[in-house]
Amino acid sequence: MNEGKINEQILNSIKEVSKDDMEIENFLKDLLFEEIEHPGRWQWRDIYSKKIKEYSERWDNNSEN
Amino acid sequence: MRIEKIILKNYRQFRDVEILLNKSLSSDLNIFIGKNGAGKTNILNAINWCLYGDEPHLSKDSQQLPMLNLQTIKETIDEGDQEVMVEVYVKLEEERTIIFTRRATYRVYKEERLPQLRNCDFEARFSDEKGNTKFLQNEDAVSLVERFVSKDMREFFFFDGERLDNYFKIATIQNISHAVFVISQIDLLRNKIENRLDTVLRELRREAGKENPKIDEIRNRLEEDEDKLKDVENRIEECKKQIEIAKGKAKECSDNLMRIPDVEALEKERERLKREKKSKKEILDTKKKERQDLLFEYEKIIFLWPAIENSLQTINEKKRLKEIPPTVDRSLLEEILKNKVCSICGTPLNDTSEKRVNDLLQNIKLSSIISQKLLNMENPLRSFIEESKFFDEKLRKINYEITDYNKNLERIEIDLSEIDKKLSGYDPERIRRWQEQRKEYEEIQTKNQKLLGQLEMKRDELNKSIDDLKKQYEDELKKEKKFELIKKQIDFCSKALDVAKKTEEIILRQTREKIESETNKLFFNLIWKKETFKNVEIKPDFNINLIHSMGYECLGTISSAEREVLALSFTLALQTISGFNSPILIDTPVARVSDELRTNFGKVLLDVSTGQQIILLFTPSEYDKDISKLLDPRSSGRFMLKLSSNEKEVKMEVL
Repeated sequence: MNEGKINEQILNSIKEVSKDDMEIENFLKDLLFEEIEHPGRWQWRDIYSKKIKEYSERWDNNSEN
Repeated sequence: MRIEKIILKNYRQFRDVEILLNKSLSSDLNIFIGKNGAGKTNILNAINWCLYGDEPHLSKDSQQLPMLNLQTIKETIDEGDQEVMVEVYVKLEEERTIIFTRRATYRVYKEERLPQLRNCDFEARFSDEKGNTKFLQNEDAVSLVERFVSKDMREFFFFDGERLDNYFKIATIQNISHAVFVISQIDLLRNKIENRLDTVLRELRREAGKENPKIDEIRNRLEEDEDKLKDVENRIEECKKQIEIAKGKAKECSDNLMRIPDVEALEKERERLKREKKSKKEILDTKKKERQDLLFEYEKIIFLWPAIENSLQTINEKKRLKEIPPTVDRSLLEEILKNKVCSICGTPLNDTSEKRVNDLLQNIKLSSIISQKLLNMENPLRSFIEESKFFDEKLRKINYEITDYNKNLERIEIDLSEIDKKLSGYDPERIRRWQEQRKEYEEIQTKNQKLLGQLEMKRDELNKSIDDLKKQYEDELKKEKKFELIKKQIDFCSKALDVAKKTEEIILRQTREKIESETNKLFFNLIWKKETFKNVEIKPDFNINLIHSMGYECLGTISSAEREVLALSFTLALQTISGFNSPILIDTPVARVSDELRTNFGKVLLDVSTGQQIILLFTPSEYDKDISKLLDPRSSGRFMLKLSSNEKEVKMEVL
């Protein structure tokens, strides 16, 4: 928002709430940067689906909860 | 960021004006002075029009007029197009400048009809890292504006003094919470990431449902419940909004009622004073009558006073000469001389005795009757003298009482006029309306509170049902190996959504706390009354309160100047937290501030201008001697706006 930057607080909170689940943390940060980069209309559905596939593949289910 | 230049061509009163907003080492304060109608507010409108495409501060008169400059229209002889252009140069912190330009083309007609808008373009241009000029147009340029001065946030940067004064009435909690959502980027999390993850999650679930009817049936029920939950959550939000609006309106009525004196008590006091006045007036009239009677009673004494005094003097003199009381009766002596025989002893008078009687008669001046009368007069005359001594005392006493009653009546008159002054301007009808409205809003609040409770209960039920269905859905997926991959994606997406929601909660809380702390810091730094207030509170629902040092909420009863400082502190706190650091432009900043507080508020604006671009638009009367003395030496630029004699164009003079 501010010159394309993401609120540091959000990034830190995502890290804190993800509790070392790096895939979830990076996935959400990735989405935030995508959203910042595309404030207008864009093909978000494809990007989101692609990223879910990509990150979930590397994701260890057992780290969940 | 700061606005470094504004170019206006054919925009309303500004036919061809370039405004260079300078910055000095000590301040970034630019001042515009112009009479009403000279186009001050249209500078604010021009910036808004250029960046956002609208003119939110347009006066009623200007609304009737075309945007195209009237002189330009007049000078357009043949039918043709004319262009309105506003260009705003925005300088970013790293010395980059973005130029935002909005152009509108109008068709001007020969006959007297308003020019018609034919086309409007918006463009942004800037140099990229390599030094090449880049152009963005329309939607893309709008997106760029959103990055620097979001339209949602503009009301916290560009406003008029009236809005600043009414800030906490206009900027209701919903607006403030919206601002917090924007500045903290919670809207990005909630409206973009969470909503989109939710959509993708549903699609993934549907995909699995296509392979298994049971899974699809559970998914259907799950989606139904999730939709219901969304609906309930929206209704909860709406309900909370209604409660806040009603609360705000009720508070507004209470503030209005608080600002007026206790009418009932004053009316009672007024009645009591009127009764006292009447009774004192009656007594005063009686006293005046008593004085009149007294004067009338003593009038004869006063009138005859010289005669009484003379008479008593004569009597005293006669007494001293032993003429009274009379020793010999004059008529007796005259009888003796006539008869030549003593009337007492019968002896005839000889020459010697006749001579003695004659001498005696000569010496007797008054007859014994007169002497006796004089003696008879003496006592009443003395009693008059005696009485006159009481007259003085009585008159003094009665005069004192009359003076006292007059003084009392004067005091009553003063008290009555004070009460009348307090009560003037507050017509009982309006007061009654405020009381009724407050009652209505309080009822709306109660009704919505009840509804909110019911909705929250429903939400809890739905959440429980959704959890059960999710579990059932998961169990079904687990049963078949072919769903392994999609289940992993669903689990991943669900967890990401959960993390996003928890992050949102944390950010919201932290942002509120930061804004509260920053507002407090700024407010107590800027306000001249350091001991009167305890703190500024921003509640979880973003309701702002100013707490008096005595512990009560005092936002509704503080002065305009104090309210404007609080609004300014809050605005600056929003900017600090958001990192937007946009210029603050205030139209008529001190118009609503009472004379004695103007200098204080001026100092506040000066303080703010040391770290922030401030643009102030004053009327000449507002920019009085004191304000000018304070701001002139520190301002980085001053401009006088002068309307041409035909009132169609404004010329700008740099002071």
